[in-house]
Amino acid sequence: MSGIVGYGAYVPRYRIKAEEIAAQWGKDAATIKRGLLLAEKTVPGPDEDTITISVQAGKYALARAGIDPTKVGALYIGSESHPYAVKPSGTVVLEALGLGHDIHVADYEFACKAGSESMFVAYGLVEAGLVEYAMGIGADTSQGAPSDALEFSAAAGGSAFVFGKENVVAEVLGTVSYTSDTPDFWRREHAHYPRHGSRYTGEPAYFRHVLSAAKMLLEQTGLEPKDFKYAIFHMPNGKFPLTAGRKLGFTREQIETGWVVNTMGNTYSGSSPTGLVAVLDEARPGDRIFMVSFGSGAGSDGFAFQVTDRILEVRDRAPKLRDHLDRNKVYLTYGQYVKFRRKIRMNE
Amino acid sequence: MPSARYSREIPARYRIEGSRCKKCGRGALPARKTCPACGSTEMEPAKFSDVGTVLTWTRLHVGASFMTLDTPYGMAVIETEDGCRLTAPLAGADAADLATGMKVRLVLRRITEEGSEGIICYGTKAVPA
Amino acid sequence: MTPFGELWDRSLRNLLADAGRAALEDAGIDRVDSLLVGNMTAGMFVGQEHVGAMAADAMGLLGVPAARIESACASGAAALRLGFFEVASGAADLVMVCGVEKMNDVTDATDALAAASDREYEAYYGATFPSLYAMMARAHMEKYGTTVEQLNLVSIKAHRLGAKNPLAQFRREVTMKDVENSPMVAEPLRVMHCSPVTDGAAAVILCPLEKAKDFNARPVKIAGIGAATASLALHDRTDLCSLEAVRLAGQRAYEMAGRKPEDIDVAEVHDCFAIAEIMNIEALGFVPEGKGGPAVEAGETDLGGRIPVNMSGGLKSKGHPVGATGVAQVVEIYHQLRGESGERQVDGAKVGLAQNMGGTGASSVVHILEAI
Repeated sequence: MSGIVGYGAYVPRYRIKAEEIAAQWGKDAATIKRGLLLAEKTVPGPDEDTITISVQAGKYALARAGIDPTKVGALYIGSESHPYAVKPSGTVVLEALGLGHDIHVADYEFACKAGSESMFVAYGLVEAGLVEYAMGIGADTSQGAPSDALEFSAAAGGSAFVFGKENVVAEVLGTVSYTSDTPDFWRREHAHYPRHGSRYTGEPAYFRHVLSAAKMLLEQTGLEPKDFKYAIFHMPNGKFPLTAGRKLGFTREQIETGWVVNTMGNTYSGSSPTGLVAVLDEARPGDRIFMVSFGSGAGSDGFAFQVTDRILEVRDRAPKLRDHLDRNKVYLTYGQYVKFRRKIRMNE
Repeated sequence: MPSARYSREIPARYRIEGSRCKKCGRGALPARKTCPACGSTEMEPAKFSDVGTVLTWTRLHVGASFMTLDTPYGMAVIETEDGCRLTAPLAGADAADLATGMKVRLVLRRITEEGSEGIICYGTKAVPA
Repeated sequence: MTPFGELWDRSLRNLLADAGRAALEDAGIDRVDSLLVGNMTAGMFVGQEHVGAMAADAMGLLGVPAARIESACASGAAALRLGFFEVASGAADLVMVCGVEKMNDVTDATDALAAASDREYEAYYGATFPSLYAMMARAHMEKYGTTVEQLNLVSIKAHRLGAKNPLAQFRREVTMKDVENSPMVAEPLRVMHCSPVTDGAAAVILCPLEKAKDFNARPVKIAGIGAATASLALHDRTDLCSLEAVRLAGQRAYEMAGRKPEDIDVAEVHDCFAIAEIMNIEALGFVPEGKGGPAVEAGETDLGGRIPVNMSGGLKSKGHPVGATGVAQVVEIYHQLRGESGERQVDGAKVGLAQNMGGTGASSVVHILEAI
């Protein structure tokens, strides 16, 4: 049975606190923190982007997989902040990871669910027997428009997964996808920042798709929420995933480990995949994991996993998410933040 | 940055692939026909570790023009644990406690880009290990 | 030699003509058999190559064979060395060697200067020239205990002597406070530890020894030349704080001249950065390895000291038009050996040494000259 054989996540060192952003725009930090359940977010350094984040997460995933990198037959990277509009992030990543030239590569875009879609395609190729191993990565360094609500949450980070049939650490029990044309959040080509439909992003977008995919997944697997040890939902802010979980009948305890958004922010295509890594960093053999992503536009991918004994062997082969998320943090002022995010117009 | 000139250096810059001298054991980056230490022509391809030690360092306050967003930044001469010497920059925050003998890890980072429309150039930077 | 400085109204061809014609006049001649131009990168600074032909043209030496010799900041001395061999081989009787650099047409010389380092593996990663020397300085400080104060003293000496040099770019003395308070460039090197960006040219005319008195009542003999290279990238050198190319070049020059370091009465060494002067006097054997700093502190390299170094003001105060420096150093020694250096004169100087260096020490050329 196919599943994850290696995994890893990376977030940059830099952080900015909600207070720092709020002060800039004359907003009330306490209200925002309460409303979003978000205290601080990650910020990429000027020398980091979706490619460099993918490489770091990918290195960790390969270390845990313990495979010859040239055996990876496909690499898909999902992001809404690929460094090039035309030239896949995957080509730089495949060279940096030494995956060899005998490989399928393409980049995916589906707002925040491009990462989980990449995971599905990687899993699918392995399950179909077309490649021995395949990698799916979700990583982002998305921008939030200045003074917009999203400026508090748009963060940077990513996770990588190697799928295979042997030495699986988390078997795929089932996978679904629920998709429709729902213009809740979008960005036109050449536009600097995305736009969104404000409250329309809630019920008609996030909740409709997440809950629908979740119900499809439960039906497909024949399982109930109580059969899972962990549940991870896409985290555009701290509140939405908790609400989704509650509506479906998951407890706070089940959601807690994967709920990394309150100190990470929304890493877009890296969001639920990174929640998954946080869970894999702790899960015991036999635990079942429920994961539903969400990408605006809109769609949700659902995965159900079951952890195997092997996870104990591979877990310590690479840093854990919390090694990056909780340690060596460098807090930025708003000025440093906009400088790093290239929001200041410089001389050419 | 011309594409051909950039892509030739990919194995060295992305994967720390160079040559090792069979005679004296020293590593060299990028791959080359002769050993910079002993002059021997017996060189074999080698891929080096991404863990190394700082041999000497500085912190630049007046930096290269493409480093404006992260000045002051660090620069170090590093020797990998398997004997290859290279020069690598460190991001400002990572250079805060630079010291000779410090252990570092080599990672892939953006180095520069040719304005808003040219290619993006990646390479090796060091972070505290 | 032209004045050194920011010569806004002198172009590259103007500088060549200024220095070249002055040298011809000084020798009382109208023509040479060959012209060699030491120049690092007219291409990057003013977009001009074919500098040898331009020089012959600008100097009124139509038809004279000419070429540019390049060895980064050692271009001047490298050109002089080849000029010597043209004469010594009998191929030419009169050779002009002109060093020149026009650096101030660009607003930032950093990128062009980085071409003297390893472009793909040092400059690409953001290593500027000061940063490479700063790393050498740190290694030197950690290995030998050299101090920042000792670096400061090098700059102070340079300015005190440069103030007495009418052709120098900076003709004012500086204090310890001036140096300590100057902005940091790359730790530990501050602005006042770094040579400036300069325009200028210097030219000399060579001829066989037996013919010299036909042109000059008191000619100066080139007694020895040595040159060497080392790894282009600092990181490929086995010892990060010693200048092997300088040591070898010096050794070869001493051997050819039949001289030892103790025989040198006055020297011009390549102080592109204060640490370089300290490392160079060690490599040339003027002081034991690692003792450069203490020697400077004790005044041994000052006017009146055991081994006067950089009586011209050095690159720091005189200026460093890259390709011109090597020739300018020899011009200074020439004047010293003829007793013409006024307030900067080393009494009784009979044997002088000029050391020119390229990049972070990847090349070096040493000339030993004697009064005759």
